[in-house]
Amino acid sequence: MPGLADPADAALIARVLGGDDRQAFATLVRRHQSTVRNLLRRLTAGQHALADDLAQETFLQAYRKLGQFRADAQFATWLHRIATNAWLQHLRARRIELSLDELPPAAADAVDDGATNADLQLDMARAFASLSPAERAALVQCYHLDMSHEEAAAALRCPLGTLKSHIARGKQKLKARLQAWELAS
Amino acid sequence: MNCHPESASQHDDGWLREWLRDDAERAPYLDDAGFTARVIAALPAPRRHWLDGLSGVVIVAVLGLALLFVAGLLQAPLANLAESIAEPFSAALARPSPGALLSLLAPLLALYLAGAALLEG
Repeated sequence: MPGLADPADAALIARVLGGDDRQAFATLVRRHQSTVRNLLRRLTAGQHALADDLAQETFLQAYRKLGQFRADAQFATWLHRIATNAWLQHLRARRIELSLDELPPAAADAVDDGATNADLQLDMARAFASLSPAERAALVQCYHLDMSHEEAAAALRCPLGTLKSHIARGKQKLKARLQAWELAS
Repeated sequence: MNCHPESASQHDDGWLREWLRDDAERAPYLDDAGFTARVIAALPAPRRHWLDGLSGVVIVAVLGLALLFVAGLLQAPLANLAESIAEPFSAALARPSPGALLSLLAPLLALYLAGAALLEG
């Protein structure tokens, strides 16, 4: 990902590395906790407690590996990569394969005329929850984290063709669930 | 992951693509609600630099003593010197008291400085 670390982030990171400044690290956590937790909520299909546990693990790993962070990268991007790996490790520990297992197809929910962005957000969360872990991971990497297909395949350690299959099937399922929104828009 | 042929769902899905891209931005800001405090509490204990320094003193002192004993095997005067240095240590360790332990600090400090100078060199 292009872009340098936010100067404010870079200064805080330097303080942590230079003098184990925990106040500086706390500021970094406060600044990035919302995006990391939101990302993990998507990946875990809305399991908030699990997402927060993984987010905590993400920041602990970030603290331990902070010396490896390269200042020519975005700190947020680096954190998201660690968060994705924490989630993958969680799946492996529970022997959950990143497979293309189908879940029962769900009918698209009806959308009221007065539907809001919050409703769309909720429906999107439900639609994401209906995807397999692999499909969720592929879509989050490519659309939320704005990675190229090659980058996403490398991050998820799967062949490029497999990643594209996950994306195509995930989008098909999302379309089926969100069709009512498409018609309403 | 399983390997599957690429799906043929390449039809018009611009709206979905856009929604997916906007989805992360639409996500609500999550209140910290003690999350940061939990992370900070779970960090490993801070490194105590004075402890690192103290362990350095002990290591250099032990190495210095060992060196003196080895050298003393070759040269009798050095052996006597090593013995005279080691004697108060063994006495203090046999009957530890604050006074006896304090009396070891000076030679330990001297050994540490000598060892540190050698390492610097």
